[in-house]
Amino acid sequence: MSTEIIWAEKYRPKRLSEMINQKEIVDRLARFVQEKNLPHCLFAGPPGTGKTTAALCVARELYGEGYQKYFMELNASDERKLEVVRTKIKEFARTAPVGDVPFKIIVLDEADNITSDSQQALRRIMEKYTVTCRFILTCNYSSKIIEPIQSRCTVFRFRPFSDNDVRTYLMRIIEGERLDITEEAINAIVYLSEGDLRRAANILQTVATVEGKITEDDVYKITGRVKPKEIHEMILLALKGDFLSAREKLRELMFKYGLSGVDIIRQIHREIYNIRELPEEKKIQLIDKIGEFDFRLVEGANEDIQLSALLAYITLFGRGGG
Amino acid sequence: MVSRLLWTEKYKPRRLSDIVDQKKAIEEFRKWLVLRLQGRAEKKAALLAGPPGTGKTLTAEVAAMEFRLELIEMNASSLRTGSQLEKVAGRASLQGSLFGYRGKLILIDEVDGISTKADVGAIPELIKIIQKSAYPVVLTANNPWDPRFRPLREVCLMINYNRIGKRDIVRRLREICIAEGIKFDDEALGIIADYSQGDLRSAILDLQALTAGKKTLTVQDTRILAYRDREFNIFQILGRLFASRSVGAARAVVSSADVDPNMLFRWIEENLPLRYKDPKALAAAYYMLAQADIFFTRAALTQQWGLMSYALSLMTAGVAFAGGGKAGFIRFKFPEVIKMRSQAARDKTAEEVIAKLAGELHLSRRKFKSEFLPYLRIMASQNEEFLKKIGKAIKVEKSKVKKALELA
Repeated sequence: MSTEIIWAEKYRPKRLSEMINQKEIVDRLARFVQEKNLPHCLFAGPPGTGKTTAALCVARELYGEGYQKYFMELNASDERKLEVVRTKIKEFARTAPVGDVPFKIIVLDEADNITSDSQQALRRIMEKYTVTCRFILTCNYSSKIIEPIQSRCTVFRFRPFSDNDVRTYLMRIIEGERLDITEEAINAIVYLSEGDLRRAANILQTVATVEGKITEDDVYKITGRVKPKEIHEMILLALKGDFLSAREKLRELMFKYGLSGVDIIRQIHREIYNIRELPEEKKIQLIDKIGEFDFRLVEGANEDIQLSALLAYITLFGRGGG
Repeated sequence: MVSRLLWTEKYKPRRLSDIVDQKKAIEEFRKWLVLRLQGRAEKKAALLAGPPGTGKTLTAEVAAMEFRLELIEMNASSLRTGSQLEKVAGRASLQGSLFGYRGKLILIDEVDGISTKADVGAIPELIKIIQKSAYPVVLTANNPWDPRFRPLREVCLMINYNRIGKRDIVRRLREICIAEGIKFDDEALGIIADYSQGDLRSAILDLQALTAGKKTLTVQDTRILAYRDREFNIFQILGRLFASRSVGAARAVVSSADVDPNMLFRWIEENLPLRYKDPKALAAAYYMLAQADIFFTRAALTQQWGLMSYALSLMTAGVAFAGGGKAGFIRFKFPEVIKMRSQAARDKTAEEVIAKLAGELHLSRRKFKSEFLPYLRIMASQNEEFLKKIGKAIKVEKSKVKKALELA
């Protein structure tokens, strides 16, 4: 399959200079490329922040387009058995690379899924093949990587992208694909992607299937989400004590837009943080309760009743109760 | 040479006296090695214990050079069983050395790497090898206090390596900068040293990473440095959590913290009583934590990971705001639960005893633990004779049975 079909892949930066933000990390990696040297690296950070992309860019710039010969990617969660990893690495490391870069690169994705016993063994493997291979480990939580491995790696922390970064990336795709899309729709995608570029690309590609200009409504409808503004309004109505209007809003979202109760309640959770009218301690009590209602939905309770009950509960907070 | 691309290799000390800031440990080691080579040492092996990057393995490597010994490096974790260990170290330790070495030095690196599950019998075998070996044996470990190493500790001379002092790290970095012709800012070296937290290897790696492709080092450059995750880092996270001004900020601590939520949960639990001294506040905060626990469990039971999000909100924002009041200075503690659990989990003999007992009673271990263990524990604690009989029935020492019943 041509990876060009998937936008997240098609618009994955090919060179370090094309990477979105992460400027300090990129600068540092570019210097390694220039020196034709690379320490073992640990790339830590949430999904979609460019860890794998950075590794691929380094490889491409070091070895040129035929980089695959000197670059191996192993996924720790797929290849749970370290024995398999060990054999593959041994095989790969046996030959020295041709050209003026004296080592090959092994990327171990999701290294935090390896048990600490196996990490000890991995540490040995790293040590053993340092002369011919450099390791790039990626992980979500570096605290799950044992200290002896961290000590041998240069640690790079990838941060979630800012809304502006996500927008820059989206614009790149929008121009590349000549999409017709409204400003509000772009904002909506930025909101929904929560700093994850991969998710941003996936949402954009999904909504691009609609006919004509892509609107904010399209984005929320296709992704099965509500405009945060509408959830916000619904909560405010309840806090004001206007239960009937709040419930009407709820029914509109559920029946007119066909949203699931679980999706709505999770957005209520996210939106609670932004309600200025509520004191901080009250927000906490409310979140506890929202979770309770969510669990009931998960267990199969009636969505309409449970969500209405939640709204009724929220009205208590507006009158200083709760 | 290729390996010299890394400064940790290029600037490796050549003599024991050049190893940074471990004077006491090195003296102790040298004394032992001299005696050991003369066959007069009390212990046949030395166990070098300490955090990563403090010079343990280095000591063995440099000592081999200095004493003209052939270094035979063994790798405990890649050897599956004791018999394989025996094949390599056992034989090596009995043969004489070729090629003009005066003898051999056997290095068994990072014995913590021995997995009790995969490397069954590795530790007893290791002890046998140490006792048989004609040559000095050096072991290294990050955490020698693990209960399963107790028998090993008894046959080894323990030598402790401490985290290296900041001043010594800075001095070493400065030497390297000068040798590489790098113009540096002293403050920047200090920052690198701080980030390394006493781990010289990681400090040198960071220095090389920061100066790659250029000949200068400024404070600005150090902005990219990241802490390697250690306790200290979690202390900062807790500090930030308890000082947050809004529930949103408290919740954001999880996503920016780069610590896995379950671990963070343990840390919060351990330190909650230190944050809230007032019983009412503590009860409110603990209630939130307990609610978070319920949501973790629900998420796992229903496989609805969306429910995790409530757990995260409650254990951070909930805990930080439940009790009210401002957080003063808190001296955070390491979670005892993690320590206790990992020790219990790793006590293999206890598990073996339980497995045997369960087998005798035709039960699964789980069933045995719920149906029999509570009663056996009481019976055994009041009746030595009974304990002895159980031991005899499953052919295990009385003391081991007792311990197993207590621990399980």
